[in-house]
Amino acid sequence: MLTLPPAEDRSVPIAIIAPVGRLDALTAPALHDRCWELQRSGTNRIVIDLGAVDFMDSAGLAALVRALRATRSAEGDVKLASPTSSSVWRILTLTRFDRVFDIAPTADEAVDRFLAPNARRAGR
Amino acid sequence: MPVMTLRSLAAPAARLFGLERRPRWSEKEPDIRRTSAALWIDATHASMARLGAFVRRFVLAGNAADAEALADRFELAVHELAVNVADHAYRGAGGSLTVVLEWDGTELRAHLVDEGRGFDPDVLGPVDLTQPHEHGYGLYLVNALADRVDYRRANNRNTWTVAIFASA
Repeated sequence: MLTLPPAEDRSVPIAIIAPVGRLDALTAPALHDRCWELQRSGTNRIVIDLGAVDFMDSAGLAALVRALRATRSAEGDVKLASPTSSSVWRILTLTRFDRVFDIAPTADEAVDRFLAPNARRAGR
Repeated sequence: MPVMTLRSLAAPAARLFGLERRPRWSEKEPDIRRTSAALWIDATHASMARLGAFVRRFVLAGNAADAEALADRFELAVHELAVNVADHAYRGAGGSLTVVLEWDGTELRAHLVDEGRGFDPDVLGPVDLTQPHEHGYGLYLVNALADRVDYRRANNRNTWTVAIFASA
């Protein structure tokens, strides 16, 4: 069976950013800059794949919040994917970011949730 | 401003930094496995990866139970304090930061000593966790991760102590 996303979704780009290593005070500005460049070019639906991030601090959280606010103000969103590191998961839960962000097990799943948000709600 | 008693600071390290108070251990106490290590770095964001590796190696080399999870907690707590020193005590200009780590079989401790601006705890308010924020999580995380956090300013030096209870 072939399933196609709604036509409206095909015209709106979705970007996946997959940082590697430490997302901290030193590197978080680079993530912020990348998100800002995407939003400036009209991409307001962003997946941040945390699968290869092994350490994140409060500056990393700040970069996520800035991206979230900017995209949501443009009717977009930031979804997080695959926070596999226990330390990354801990900081997300301690700050309750797991309740603020939609967190998918994989980047593909996060993209699917952008493309078919209603189907996901029905499946809950 | 809260004043901590450096009762937990090992005597050699305390002597080194001129912070000696009262040694925690008497000679009558059993000599359980104790280790300590010190790192001197420039308090900048670029130094944090090195500090993190140092903290992890110290925890994993000890005999604490569940060392991986302990290393995760301790690394982040020490990291957030060190970034706080870099950003606020030295305002991004860099400066001396000494990190002394101690493990005595019951408690994992880090003492961070800098010569930057003093810290005013009155500027801190409660963190509203119902909404995401861009700032204010650093010391919240330290308190959430650690079992004990102390701050002291003396002789134009700031000393932060963060401790996590653990068993061997």
